[in-house]
Amino acid sequence: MYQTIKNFLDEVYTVETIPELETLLRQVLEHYGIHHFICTNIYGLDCLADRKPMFGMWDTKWVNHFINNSYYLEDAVAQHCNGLEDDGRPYYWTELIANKDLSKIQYKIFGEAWDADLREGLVIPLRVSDDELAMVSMAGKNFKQNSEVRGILHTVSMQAHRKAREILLRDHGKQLMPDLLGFVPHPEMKRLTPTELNILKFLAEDKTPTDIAVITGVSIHTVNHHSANIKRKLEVKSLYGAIGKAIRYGLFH
Amino acid sequence: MIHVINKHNRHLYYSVLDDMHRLRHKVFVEQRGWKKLEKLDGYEIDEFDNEETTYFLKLDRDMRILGGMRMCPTTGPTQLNTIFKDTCVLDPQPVGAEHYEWSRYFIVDTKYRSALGKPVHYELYAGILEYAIARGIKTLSGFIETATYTRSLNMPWDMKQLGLPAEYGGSHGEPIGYGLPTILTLDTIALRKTKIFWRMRKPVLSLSLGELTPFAEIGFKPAVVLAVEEFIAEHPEHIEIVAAYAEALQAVDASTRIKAAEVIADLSDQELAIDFSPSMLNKINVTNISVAAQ
Repeated sequence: MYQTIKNFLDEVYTVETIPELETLLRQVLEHYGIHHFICTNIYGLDCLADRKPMFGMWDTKWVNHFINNSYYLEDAVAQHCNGLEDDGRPYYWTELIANKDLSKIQYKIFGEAWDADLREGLVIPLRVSDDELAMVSMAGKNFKQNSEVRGILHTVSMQAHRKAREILLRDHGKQLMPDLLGFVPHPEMKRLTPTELNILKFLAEDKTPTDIAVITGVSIHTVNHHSANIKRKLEVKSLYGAIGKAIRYGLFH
Repeated sequence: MIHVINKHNRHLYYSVLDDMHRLRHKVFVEQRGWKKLEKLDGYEIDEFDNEETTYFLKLDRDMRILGGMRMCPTTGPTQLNTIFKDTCVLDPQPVGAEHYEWSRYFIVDTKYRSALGKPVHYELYAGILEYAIARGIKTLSGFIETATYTRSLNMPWDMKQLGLPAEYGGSHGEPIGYGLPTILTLDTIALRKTKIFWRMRKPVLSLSLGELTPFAEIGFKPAVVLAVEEFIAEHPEHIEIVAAYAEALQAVDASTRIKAAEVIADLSDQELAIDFSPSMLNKINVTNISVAAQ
């Protein structure tokens, strides 16, 4: 029962590009009768304009119709997502139709979506922070609707969004976390053992060998031994040189 | 600072824990409507608040609680193997001495900012991570709100789902919540990234021991806090002298430091008298403390 979603969760970590992600999504979503899936950056993702699609496998004919008629101005799904309380709960279109006081044009949009074989849909708000919101909207003709399917589709959406965000930021010369996820220590730094790196950091924090011995619970001779190894491995004459090299190679990011 | 309260020092935090249970009742029962937890006496306490529970509380200088969370060992009953036992459909909750469960996260004042502009949850999470990693804890699992999980995906954490998002509650007039079981795998890299991400450079764990040391702007490295904890566990009769020692070391201005030095000198004599462990002296010294105004 859960093997499909487990496979998806394993595979989504290895995806490198948006098309790869979309292919993976297609395999999972078709299983649930979904042929329209679009994840939009509502606002806050710097590398994309507001309301720009991040990824998906959408029904082009319907999307063109939607845009040409400027339905995005009044669409109940998007409006609802924008105004949602911050509980991240997904909503089926039928729940919106049943519970919301919709305008004539909003009913019309749902009616036309039905005619385009988008008979049931699910909308999932994805709030990454106070300043960033994305929305997944998916629909299909034979959409299976129950709480378990909702949990699966929510999971797929969250993990796909996370991966897409990572890819988009990377492709736009940014990192998910600037200077962090993309940070790879210089090869010279990799030659140092974790203990030696630790000692180097303490030295950079103006700790004396005596301080380091106390902090790390070893003898001062051991600290001096590690210090000598650091100098040898980094090919420098003094610990000042070692700290300088460590700074140049980004150890103290 | 984040105060770690467990079986070794809870007798010094009676009034704080009392406040915490009343605050939890206010937050979880009165505000969030979790009626099942309602108690006539206004204290929210459940079966996971026991001898083995560790509490992490953010306290201000007046020992008022600004936020908190609890951590329970998985070797006993947990929320994920009792209340939410049917939710872990993707992977089971790992069980063992290196695996803990976190729950009852609450923030009293979401608008609070420290002197360096940090909200409560930064210190709270950083404190828990610091403590857990120093303790050798490998994972923290728990049932969390889906909205919280979505936000956590922005963090440099290896946080995975153990099950699917699902509704819970809804009976006894409770609101229907929406959450999922998750697991956070801990490592030092994640802690470093978290602290860099939030621009936190100093340790956030406090060694304040109840009302004996109310000073709240000093951070101790986890190793110090753990060493003190272990020492108190072994020598509960010396709790007061440890507290006084910690207080003396927490002085930041020059004049207080001079007085502290005198206190320490006096204490050293007393330490000799009571056969105080030398390793404690080594661990709690000035080089191992950092002033953390965050």
